[in-house]
Amino acid sequence: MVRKSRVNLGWLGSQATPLITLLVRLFFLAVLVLLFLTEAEGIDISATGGWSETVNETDLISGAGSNLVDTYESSTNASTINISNCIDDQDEWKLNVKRDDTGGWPISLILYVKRTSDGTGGGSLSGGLSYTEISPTIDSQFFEGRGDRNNITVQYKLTGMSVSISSKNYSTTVVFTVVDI
Amino acid sequence: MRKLMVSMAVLGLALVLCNLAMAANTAQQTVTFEVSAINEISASGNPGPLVVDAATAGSQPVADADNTTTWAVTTNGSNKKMTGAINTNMPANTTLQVNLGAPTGGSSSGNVTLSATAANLVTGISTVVQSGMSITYTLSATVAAGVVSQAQKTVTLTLTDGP
Repeated sequence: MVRKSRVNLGWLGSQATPLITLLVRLFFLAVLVLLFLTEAEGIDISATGGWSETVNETDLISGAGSNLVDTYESSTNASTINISNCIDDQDEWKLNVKRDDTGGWPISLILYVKRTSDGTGGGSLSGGLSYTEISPTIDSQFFEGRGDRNNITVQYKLTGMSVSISSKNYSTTVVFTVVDI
Repeated sequence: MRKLMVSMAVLGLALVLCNLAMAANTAQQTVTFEVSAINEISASGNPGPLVVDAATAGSQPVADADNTTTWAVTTNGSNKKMTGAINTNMPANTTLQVNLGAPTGGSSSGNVTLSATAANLVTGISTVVQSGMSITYTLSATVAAGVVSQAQKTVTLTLTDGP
């Protein structure tokens, strides 16, 4: 394709002034680059929602003298994930998950995520139906699929709660990464 | 012109490679939780009636004690203390004392005379989950009290900030 463009440019060059020839050649090069960029564009991901939980005295196992309940779960549709811009329904991808802690996330607390629906769309999904630990240090594979999928719902779980965790606000950012494979 | 063409081609290739390298795309969600201050105490029930009705000749009447109740605490705070008070002061020449067992890390004040003013019973309570700690009430009276008719007192135990 590049060779063909050069032939055409040469033909045009013979018909126009050097300045016009230069501009035309630059135009075709720009088009060529744009074509490459379009071809190489990646799969997109977007997510909405999140999870906020308050732990207080009502979460004591049996009132004074007992500890806090260890495990907390979000709603089954705490976050919704959309995968788009696949080439077709056979375009394979995988979804990784990791967390980025801020504000002194307690080391004893472990965060998990699981997929609670298949969403909609022409593609398909597999895996992720049981809880995956979200590591603060490495990307963990969550699930994989093919093609565009919308409204994939996920649920979070937190374990390791106890009164030894100081009273304050804690926050972490869950990072979902879609990788074209 | 040839150099320009080659430069443009290299630039285009670099852009393509950069785009390929960015094929992994990300989305972020925030998970937040709040742990509220938790300071819960409870007592297992009411003590039995305390009656002073005996004495050894030549001595003051014998005090009566009850240790049938216990208390429990859960706190995620630090340097807390337990105080105790009764709703109204005791009749003249009678004394009601309480002795609370301390949770791990805390320090009991031993036998403390209760009045309408709160007094420290246990200090130095920090981040603890414990139950079954003793409560002992002791009623004493001198002969100067005479005969005192039966009465009830409400004891208020409070977990509050130390020292």
